[in-house]
Amino acid sequence: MKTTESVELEQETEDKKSTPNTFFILSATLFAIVCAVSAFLFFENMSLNTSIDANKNEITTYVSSINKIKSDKKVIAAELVTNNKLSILASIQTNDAQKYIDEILTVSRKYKLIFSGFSYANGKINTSAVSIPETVLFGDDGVKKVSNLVRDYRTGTGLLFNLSPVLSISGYEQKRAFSLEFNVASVK
Amino acid sequence: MQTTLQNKENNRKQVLSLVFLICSIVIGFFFTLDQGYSYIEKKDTLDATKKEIIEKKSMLEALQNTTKNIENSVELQNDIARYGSEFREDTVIDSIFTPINGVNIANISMTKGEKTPNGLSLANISLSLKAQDRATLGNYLNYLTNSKTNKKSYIIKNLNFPLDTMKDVPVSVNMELGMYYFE
Repeated sequence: MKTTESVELEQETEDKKSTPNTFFILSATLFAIVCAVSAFLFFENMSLNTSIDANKNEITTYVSSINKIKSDKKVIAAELVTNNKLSILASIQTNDAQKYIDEILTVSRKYKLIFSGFSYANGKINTSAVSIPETVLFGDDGVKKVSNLVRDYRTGTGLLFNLSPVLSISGYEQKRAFSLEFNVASVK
Repeated sequence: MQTTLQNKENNRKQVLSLVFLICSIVIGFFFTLDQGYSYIEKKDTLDATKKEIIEKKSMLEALQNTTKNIENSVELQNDIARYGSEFREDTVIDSIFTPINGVNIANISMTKGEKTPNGLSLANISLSLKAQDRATLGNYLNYLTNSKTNKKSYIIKNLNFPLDTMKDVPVSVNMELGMYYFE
């Protein structure tokens, strides 16, 4: 029969034996893992280097082909024109002065106003106007036509122009003179 | 006797374990870690080069398409002549001094202007002319801005003339035009 003391002694001896073994196994495993990971990374890096070099060579080939094509000025011009055609056309349309002259003539006919002078720049149209009443009767003032014009521009929608404030009118009831400044609606 | 042998064996294992551990730490710190960082860096570089290849490839394809289009598309050829040809005074003069009945051009002056943010340059052309009536002026303005018979298209930067809505008389017109070109 083993006594409790002898069992404990045996256990202690067994522990003493197993501790170096465990430590040895653990450290050997760690070493093996470190070596394996290092070897894997080393070869993987070599492979990556090869791939990177191949890609860089490919890029150089593309760049030289691109430069060769770009040395032809016509190709660059074509690219720029293609990319900017819409904005160029929009710019030409926005500055279509003929359309604005026609619109001024339409306004003149509609409100029976006499316009003199036409100046267009940067989306602004300046002209001078004279309003003569339809009759020479008392109370028929040319300013009514001015009022109608301004009212329509202040309350209307979808018009080609925005009318700048008309802040001064000169003359007398049979002949009212004033200046007009229109802003093309799409140009701010 | 057995205990002594066992102790020796244990000592040997302990020494070996320590050697393995130290080697693991040294290799791990001085080599594996470095290789790891290098791996991450190289992976990033590889991804970047792959992206650059795709980018350059599509750029090259676009340029090749443009080259083909220049050869085959009459519309593109006309557009290049209209907005992307070089600045040539003779071309401008031929384009502006067109024989339109009722338009007499008095003066013309040109400056090469500046390069715009879109990559094309914008020249300034000042023009003074006499038109026999408003309709003729209208025809000429349309010719300058939007005509297939004109090899150039101009932007009307400013225009002024003594409009008189009461009578349609000959008018003297001053205008400044913008013309896109490639330099």
